Amino acid sequence: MDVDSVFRRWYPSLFRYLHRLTGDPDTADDIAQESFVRLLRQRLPEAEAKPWLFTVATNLVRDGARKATRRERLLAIYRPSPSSPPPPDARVEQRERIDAVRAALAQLKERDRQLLLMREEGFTYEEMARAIDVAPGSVGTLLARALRRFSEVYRLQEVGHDARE
Amino acid sequence: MMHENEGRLLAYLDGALGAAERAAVDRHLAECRACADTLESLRAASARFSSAMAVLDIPAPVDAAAAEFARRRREAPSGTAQRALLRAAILILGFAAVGSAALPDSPVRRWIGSAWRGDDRPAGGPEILADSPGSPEDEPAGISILPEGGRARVLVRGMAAEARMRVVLTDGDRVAVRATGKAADARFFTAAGRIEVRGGGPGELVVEIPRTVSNAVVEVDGRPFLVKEGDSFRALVPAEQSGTEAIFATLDPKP
Repeated sequence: MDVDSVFRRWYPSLFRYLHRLTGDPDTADDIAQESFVRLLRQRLPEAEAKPWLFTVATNLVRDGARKATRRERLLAIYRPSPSSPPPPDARVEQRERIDAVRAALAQLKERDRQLLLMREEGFTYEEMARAIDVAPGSVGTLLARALRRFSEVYRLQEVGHDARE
Repeated sequence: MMHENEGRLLAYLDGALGAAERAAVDRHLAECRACADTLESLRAASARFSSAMAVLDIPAPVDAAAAEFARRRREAPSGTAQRALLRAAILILGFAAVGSAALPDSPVRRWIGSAWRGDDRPAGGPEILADSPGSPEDEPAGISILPEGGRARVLVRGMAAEARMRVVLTDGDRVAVRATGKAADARFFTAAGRIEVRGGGPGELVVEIPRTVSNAVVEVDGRPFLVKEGDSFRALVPAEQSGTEAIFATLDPKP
């Protein structure tokens, strides 16, 4: 397995998944790094690297392995720095939208959150079934319920936001 | 008529059904308005979720992460014990220099204050590295990068126990690290907003930080060692037992 090529191919997707899951870019980067380092010790066909990485990363999030991985971290090299930051009103609005999305995500069960975010990263139903240890035939039902639940709570968040305005 | 359940409809939407199942759902949808509506509502919910997630996204730091991953790959095999000893040595050396900087009237403190005020070479202070190299064996090896967005980080890892390190304030616009003696064998790595120095033998490392950099950090083996925030320096040095304690040294303002 060409680990560098696997890294280039899957790091952006894993980072996005972890950032959506944890809400913290440093944690997302730390855990993604740790997952790839652990991949070095595996002898996996390249096709199995992606589900393996995401499963390990999800377990690291769950186990609170952040503290351990942070010790390995050299530094926070990266901070997004938009060349022209949005005006204050737009920033407030964007912040409120992010908070609403995060609040809605937080109201989902952990497994539902994981499934929905894996689906966003293009996982097959078989891969998602293996990741959460359920029958492939039940993934559609779990996903549909999770989508409905998210829509419901997100709409309430938006209604609450509109009422405050 | 039996309706399709939402799970199967979503699997249909996601292309997760086999050909036969897909054909069966196609036939059902052609005849069942309720299921066609359910399918549309799932499609809308799916689009809403994707668009909500996009609100959270920031660009992935791919290049920096790849560099860090390459570093961890190289360091994975061995050398932990040796590096631990070297780290202890460099921290003690650093502690001596920075600790004395915090004392009133200490030479290092006077030197830092003078450098901050823009003196070229304060009397009695450490020599500021000349741009022109001396003899070939003394020729400094160095590398420099522009500070990014008023921030800069300098990382020192696994230096030889005999190596010395100095921090110099400059009027330039580049953070630079120069090495002399056998420290010139050190390897230099750069990435956005940082310089990393590893390896090297006895000699001296000089870290040059422009006064215009509002935020700079010098780290030794992954631990913050000296932080420049605006007009003040904060030195984080090992406490007697464990952990760190902070020494604050506010520098004279620029005239």
